[in-house]
Amino acid sequence: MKKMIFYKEWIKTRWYMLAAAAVLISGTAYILLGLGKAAQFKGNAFLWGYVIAHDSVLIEQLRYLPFILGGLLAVVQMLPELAGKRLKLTLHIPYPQWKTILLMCLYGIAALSVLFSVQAVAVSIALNRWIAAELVCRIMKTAAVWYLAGFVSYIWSASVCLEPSWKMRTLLLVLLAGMAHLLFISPVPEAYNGFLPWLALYSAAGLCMVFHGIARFKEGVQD
Amino acid sequence: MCGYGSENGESDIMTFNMKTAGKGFIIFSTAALSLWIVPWICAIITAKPFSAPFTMYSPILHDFTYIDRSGGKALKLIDSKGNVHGDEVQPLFYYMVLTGRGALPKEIDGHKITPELVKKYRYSMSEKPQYVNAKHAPAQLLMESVPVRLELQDPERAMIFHKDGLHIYEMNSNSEDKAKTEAFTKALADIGFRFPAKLTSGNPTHRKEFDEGYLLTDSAGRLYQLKMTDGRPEARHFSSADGISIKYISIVEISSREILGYVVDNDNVFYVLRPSGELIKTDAVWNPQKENLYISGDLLYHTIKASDSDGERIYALRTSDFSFENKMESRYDKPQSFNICRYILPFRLYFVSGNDSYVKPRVKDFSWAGTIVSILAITGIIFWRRRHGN
Repeated sequence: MKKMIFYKEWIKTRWYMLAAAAVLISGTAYILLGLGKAAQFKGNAFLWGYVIAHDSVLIEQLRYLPFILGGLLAVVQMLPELAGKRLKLTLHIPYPQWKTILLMCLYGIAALSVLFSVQAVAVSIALNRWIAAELVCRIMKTAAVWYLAGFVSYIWSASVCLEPSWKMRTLLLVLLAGMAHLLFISPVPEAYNGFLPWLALYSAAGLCMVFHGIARFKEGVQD
Repeated sequence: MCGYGSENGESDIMTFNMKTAGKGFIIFSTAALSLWIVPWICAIITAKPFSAPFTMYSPILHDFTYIDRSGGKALKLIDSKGNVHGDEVQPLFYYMVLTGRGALPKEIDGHKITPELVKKYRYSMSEKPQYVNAKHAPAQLLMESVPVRLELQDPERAMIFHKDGLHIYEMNSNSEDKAKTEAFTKALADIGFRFPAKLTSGNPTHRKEFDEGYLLTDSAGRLYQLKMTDGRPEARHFSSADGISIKYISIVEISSREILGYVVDNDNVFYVLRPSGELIKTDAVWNPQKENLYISGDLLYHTIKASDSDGERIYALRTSDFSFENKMESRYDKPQSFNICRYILPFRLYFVSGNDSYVKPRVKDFSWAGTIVSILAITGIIFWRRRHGN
């Protein structure tokens, strides 16, 4: 049954995943090519100086990309469930409902993990050509919160999509806006270092909002 | 229930638990968001403009003067007794204007005054806790202090401290310069430096007259200087700072070359480090972790201002020996605005502070009135929901 659920999610999201991968690859390649050109024309010292003296992480332009991709994946994955009352059918398959919903969410989280990991590895390898590993490590530590924002965007958007009433949806959207503000409140490198594990735990706990929406759907809550 | 049959009782229990957890999570998140955003919005709406006046020590009046901008374009300097003066009481600050008017005094308190001398000694610097309390890059740019073509050039090397020594990188090739790594590590180790460095302070830019490299403390907290001259390491240890628990250092590269740096110990005592290695303990106190610092130095006096959001302490020290000349302390008389949040929320939650660069949850402005109102409001909501069946 697990394979079937994953397959169902894959069928729903495969074109989006392809598009997301294309956007991520082209966005990352654009930034890295720009950095490569800067290194070629001005020397690697220019990039070193930018990271050290200007507190730059070189890849700032990528910071909102995971957040956008995460949110869109949730919409692409969860909205079809609401259209044509497919969610009713999903909840009727001979498998515990909470496991079904959990597996659906885990699929999204796994898909985003793959996308983000590939991007992080590609960026790390490229940056290592121009600057020291210690500085690359600083940049990737800074970027960690952007990837977390991608998962937060996915989980919160999924809960918004699966919530049956607009009143609660509005509240969840306000909470999502608050989380987005918190996750992008500081551009300073490594500003989230100590807080990040707690934020990650809180974000993972956010999955229970999805189940809250499902339970309300089952209860027949409507506007 | 509208007919979504679960396969077994376990699923129903799980769904119930998850729903309860979800409800709790949403309530917690909404409460946290309210405690964060509502006071923030209130602060934006009720904020009133405030700025502390620019204050300096006058060598003519032997008193502090601040600039009063309330009277239109005319510059007015007010002393601590409220007397109004013109720019002639700050001749070392407005020396260009006074020179143009032919009003620059030839002598002040027996010290000869010329525009060249004034310019040579005149400088200012500032520091903020937001910069002090931040995670800095693990590498530092390393300049050549004695460049072949005389003018300082952009750094070509960077240094990274490890437990096993100092690693020097040739930035353009992004590779370690093994010979320099060995030489610099040896130079520091030979004078007792224990790796890695705890604090470093440098100003690696070519937009200055000369380069003094870095002031740094080792893992034992002792003070050193390191610079690269002719491609070779030049390291020195300041024994004058041994025994002091250093928590802040700052290198100073000013035209007069009479100061090499500033040092602050764990008791917030402010020291001046001379290029000779002499460390002068001053009467100034500054907490780098919590207070802003502004230093305005000239031929005769240094005005050192330590301030936070509540007030400021301003010290006047004699430039010749950094002995105490005067001190002024004041609390800011900020315009008070009605803070409604104190009456509806138990405390304020915020995540960023002007005192550091980290994002983390912090709490302030606890209010008993707000706590009682919040408890009453929650009780009322629960009571109302029970009466109305949801």
